[in-house]
Amino acid sequence: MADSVKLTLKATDSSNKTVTTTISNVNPESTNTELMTTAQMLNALTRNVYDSTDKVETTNLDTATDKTTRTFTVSAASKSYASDFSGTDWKEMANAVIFTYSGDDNPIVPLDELKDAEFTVKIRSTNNNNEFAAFFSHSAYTEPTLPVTFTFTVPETETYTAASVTFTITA
Amino acid sequence: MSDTQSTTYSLKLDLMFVDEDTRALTLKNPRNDLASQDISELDTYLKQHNTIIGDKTGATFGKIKTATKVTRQEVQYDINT
Repeated sequence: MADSVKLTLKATDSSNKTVTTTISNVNPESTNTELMTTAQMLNALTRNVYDSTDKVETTNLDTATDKTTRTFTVSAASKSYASDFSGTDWKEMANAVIFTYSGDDNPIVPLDELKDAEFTVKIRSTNNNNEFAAFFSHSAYTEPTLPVTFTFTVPETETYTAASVTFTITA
Repeated sequence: MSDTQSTTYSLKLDLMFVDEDTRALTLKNPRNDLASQDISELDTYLKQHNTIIGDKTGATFGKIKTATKVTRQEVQYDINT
C-alpha cells in the first residue's frame, strides 16, 4: 500500500475563524497542482475563504525517517462565488454573449463587492464539449445597481452554451 | 444568563472507492446555493485525477455516493440560574 498521506485545508469562515478540514489518504503520486485544484474545488463548495497565509500540506505519515512534507500556498487570496446569473443572450454576429445578473433577495455577491470582482466564465462548446474559459474584469461595471450586464467575446469557430460563471473577489 | 441556541451547517460527502469501501468527508459552511452540478464537477475531477484514494488498500476513487447538507441545531441550557 502507498504511504499514508493527508491533505489539510485551512481557510477562514465569515467570522474570520480558522476552518480546518483534513482528508486522509490523498494519493502520494498526485502533483501539487492536482492537490491544489482539489482543495480549491472543495473550498468552492463552501462559504469559507482562503486567506493569503493559508497553505495546503501533504505529509507522509509512515515513519519519522520517511517523513516528507509538501507545502504549497493556495493560489490567490480570494473569495469565489458560483454563478447567480440568469439568462443568456447569444449574439451570433458579434460572437459575444451577454450575461445579465438580476440579483435576488439574498444575493450571493453583495453588490458593493461586485465592482471589485473579476469573473471566470466557463462555457462549453456545443460541438465537441470542449470547455473554454474566458477571464475578464468588469471595468464596464462601476455602479452597484441591478441589473448588471456583462459582455465578452468568444472565439468565432465554435458555438457554445453557457456552463458557469464564477466571481473572484480578491481580498 | 439564558439558554444559548446555535445552528451549524455542514456538507457531508460519502466517497466510495473501487473496493467498495466508503468514508465520509465533512465540509463546514456549505454554500447556500449548492447545486447537484457542483457535486458532479467535483466527482468528475476526482475520477479523472484520483487525488483521494481509499483508506485500507489505497483503492482508486470510485464516485461520490451521496452528498448531504446537514443542519444541526444546538441548545445549551443555562443551568446556573
